[in-house]
Amino acid sequence: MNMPAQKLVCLRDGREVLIRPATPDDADGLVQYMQEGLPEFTDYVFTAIGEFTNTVEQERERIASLDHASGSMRLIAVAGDRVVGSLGCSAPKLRRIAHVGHLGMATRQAYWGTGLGSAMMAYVIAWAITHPVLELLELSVYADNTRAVRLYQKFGFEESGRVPRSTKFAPDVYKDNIHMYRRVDVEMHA
Amino acid sequence: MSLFPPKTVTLRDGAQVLLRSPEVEEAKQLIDYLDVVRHDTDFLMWGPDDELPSLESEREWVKARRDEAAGVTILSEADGQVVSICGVDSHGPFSRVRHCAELGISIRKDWCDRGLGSILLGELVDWAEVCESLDVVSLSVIDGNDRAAHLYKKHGFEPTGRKRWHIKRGNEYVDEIIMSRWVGDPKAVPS
Repeated sequence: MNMPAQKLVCLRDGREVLIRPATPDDADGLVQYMQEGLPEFTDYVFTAIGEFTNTVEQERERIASLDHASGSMRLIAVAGDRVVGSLGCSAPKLRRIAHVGHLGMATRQAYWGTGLGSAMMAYVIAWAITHPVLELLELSVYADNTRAVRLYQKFGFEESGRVPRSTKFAPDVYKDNIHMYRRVDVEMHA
Repeated sequence: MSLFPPKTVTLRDGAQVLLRSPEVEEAKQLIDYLDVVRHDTDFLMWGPDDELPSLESEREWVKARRDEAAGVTILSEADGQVVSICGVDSHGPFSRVRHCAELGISIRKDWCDRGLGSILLGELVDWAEVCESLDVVSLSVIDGNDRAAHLYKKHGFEPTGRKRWHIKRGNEYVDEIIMSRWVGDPKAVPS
């Protein structure tokens, strides 16, 4: 299998970031990224502030357990020695759904609008296309997060459905989730 | 912890079935049951090629299901045999998804078409409606399982999406249909 290499990306504002799969040694940086970044992007993800409780050791074990061969990996964007973005792909174990990789991504606020999200998405799609198991990528996004929806559409993701009120922010405050998918196997027949 | 209060139901053909929570000590019977139903039907996520759960992981699963507050699992027993497993399982523990639960159901082939599925769905929906923290129940149907889709509609579930090619059976790709139903405050039904 094509193990993804690191990639140096020059963003629209001229800053450079390195995109690469996380290794267990990135656990420290990822925990710091989540602790500092969550207040910035909590409105767009499932995790509420205070609900990220992984220790560095737990994060290390999680990264070590990712099986690239079965379609699971954690991509990070690094600027200097800091993690500034992350995109995870996880594929289920059951054979009938093992060809579907589920994505989740976020970036630090200082990198919003710089093209970092696009760079990470392009990277993971290129990797998934060459992956022998993955044939579909799937993600879910809040229906009102139009910026993210547009980014996903730009990368070929189409809406496959939604679950009304599947996230709850407060009593009587709900958001719908849109499910989107994209094929990453050109040989797959309709 | 939520345990299902034991209850005996009578099917249209007169057969009696006991509905109750599974016991941790029944892990082996549950694995054997899974091995039977996954060969009975093409409409489960579990296929014949998947590795069966270990006794230890099955015991942990039963324990977790018994301890879960925002979910319930019902084992149906007849003639001393497990004939169905079904349940609703909260997407928790995160606060934003804890109100949402996934429904799953399987029935042994020789116990299908006898009205058991409808009874079990009714029990699960009733349970979810009473459960204070649950507002939404969603489920997946593999395309082609029209009988199940019809039954879910009868119990108030609406299709809200179709995930194309989501199920791979050998070299065949099948769509997965997602359905959901409101079980929260009846005064706050989504429009």
